[in-house]
Amino acid sequence: MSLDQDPTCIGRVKHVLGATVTVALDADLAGIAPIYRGQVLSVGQIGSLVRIPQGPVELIASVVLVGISELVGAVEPLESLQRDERWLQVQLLGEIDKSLGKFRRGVGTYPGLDDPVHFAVAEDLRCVFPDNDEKSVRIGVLASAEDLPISVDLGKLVTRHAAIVGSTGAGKTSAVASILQAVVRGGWTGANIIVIDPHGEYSSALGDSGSVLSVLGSKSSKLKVPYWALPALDLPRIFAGAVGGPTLNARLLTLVTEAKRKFAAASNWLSIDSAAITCDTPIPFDIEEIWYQLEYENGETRDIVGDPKSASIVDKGNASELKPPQFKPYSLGSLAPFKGPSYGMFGMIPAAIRLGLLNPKLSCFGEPRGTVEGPDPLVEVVSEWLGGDRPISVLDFSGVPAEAADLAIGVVLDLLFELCQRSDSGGPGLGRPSPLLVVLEEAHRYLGPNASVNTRNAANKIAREGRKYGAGLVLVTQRPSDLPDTALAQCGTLISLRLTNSVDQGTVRAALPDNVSNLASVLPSLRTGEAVVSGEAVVLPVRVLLSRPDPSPKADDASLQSWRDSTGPPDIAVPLASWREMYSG
Amino acid sequence: MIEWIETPGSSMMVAAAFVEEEEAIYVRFSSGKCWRYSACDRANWDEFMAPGQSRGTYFHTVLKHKPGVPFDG
Repeated sequence: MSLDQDPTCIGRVKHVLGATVTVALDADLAGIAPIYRGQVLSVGQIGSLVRIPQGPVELIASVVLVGISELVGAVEPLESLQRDERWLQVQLLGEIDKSLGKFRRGVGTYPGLDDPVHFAVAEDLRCVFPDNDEKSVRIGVLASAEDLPISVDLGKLVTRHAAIVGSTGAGKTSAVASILQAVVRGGWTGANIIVIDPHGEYSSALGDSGSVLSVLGSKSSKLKVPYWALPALDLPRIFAGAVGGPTLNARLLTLVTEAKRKFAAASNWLSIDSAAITCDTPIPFDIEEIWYQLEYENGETRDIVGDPKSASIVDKGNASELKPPQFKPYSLGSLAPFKGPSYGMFGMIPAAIRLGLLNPKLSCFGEPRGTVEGPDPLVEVVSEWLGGDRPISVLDFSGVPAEAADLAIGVVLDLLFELCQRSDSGGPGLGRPSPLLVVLEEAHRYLGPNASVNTRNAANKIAREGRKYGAGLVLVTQRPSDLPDTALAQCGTLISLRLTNSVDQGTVRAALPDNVSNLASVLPSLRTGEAVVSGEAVVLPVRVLLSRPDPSPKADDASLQSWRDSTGPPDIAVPLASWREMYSG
Repeated sequence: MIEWIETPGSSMMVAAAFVEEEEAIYVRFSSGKCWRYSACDRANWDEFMAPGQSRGTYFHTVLKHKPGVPFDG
């Protein structure tokens, strides 16, 4: 075979089937990694790019399959190849107009047989992957040409949703941190980016440019999710870690609704029709009073069954001090005192709610209380969630029980979506007037079937309808197969890091565009921090070596150094005391 | 679907039912009216329906003091 003298030429077109082109590699090519300008190039890497000149345009194609003809058997496009011939199968993706120096998706002409095929070097691809401009942010470099920076269109990444998937240790957290750092350094200082951080990994990476609120923080760094903004039926789950029975739930709904109506009636800053207030309307109320009433009814004994005034009370207790009321024990047989009408019907839940209210780890749910004099406490809370004047806000939920974090995250997501939905384009507010991006770590936990109903609904609402209201979502997960079918479909951009689980690989393969779904075959072998990026925010699906974040997140694995250094057993007293706090007053 | 159980021997009621998911006892009185009494657990139901237990006595001493509402069914 006589190839062009051009040192970038690697072979010739042998077969064209639609957008799939088979290329016979030059027999003289050393391996499939030619040396060009002193550098070894990865021509045969799956996902690397080649160009096929066609007069005034150059077709750009991505390598999807490599092989030697005799080993392949009856793969139809390869019939024209000679025995022992090495080949590439490439997918046509777009073309460069050489006169304009511009790239466009799709091809107007198809290559002819024996047309030369060249590997693409950084200069060839600069017009395909323009460096970051005002609309884009640089996320890394092309894996097959590391001197070529790759940028993503931030507008499309934010408003059309995105997913970052990868197995544990593949570099998801670093990818998120790196992209967000690039956003801030790119001058998007007025951004509204909220990172939902269930494991407390992002504070070190984003603390310089963002606000970090933690459920275990103090004063200004404390994350507040007021209990009164939660659906009433979630209160036992938050504070008692249990679901109420039908009698408790019915009573709780009645008591909370009454308390909220009472607060609204006394309030100077609320103007809302009392009849429109339900148990779930986010209006402050006194939860200690509700607890006290439940505790009272649950333990009440009476001298006369039908007379509430005859309660056999020993100590009235005190709601604000969380001191439970004490009653004389009921008598067996027909003697007083008798059980009250709801005696024992609430089980241990009132007692567990009391412990929850005393638990410092759940104190983030206790603030702000709100007063009838005002101001509206939710304004302060949501402003803090949004990070004030910082472009990024990290909401760190590490340290509270997983179920409580799940419910609190649901409240945050629901409230943010509601605000976006109610903000008009031209007016003040969040969403259309000033887009919101929510980065949801461990997204499978909040969108999947095991999430609480409210959290799942809130996350799905943003995924399904967020675009309309300027609310974007970045789903970060190691288990894309655990996401609902529609979630990945809603994501305009997919950043896939190494995935070792075959079911997850299948999910990502299905989410990739048809013409590059073969790229999914590289998912298990990607390096840490390397990703296949596809979708609306990038001009072409590409393998990218993502930039390292600086500073780094706290997502490293535990070090085993202590196994060498330590001379005694680990001191478990402190963590044990911390754990016990959850169960003690 | 409420599964009514007849209460023979009682002059004041003709049938009763327990819905565990609601923690509620339903009573159909001889007058034809039905009431739903909440805050009733299985122990209440077992005591109410125990052999030898007077339904009327149990109703007057326990059930009628539970939160009750007329039930149209």
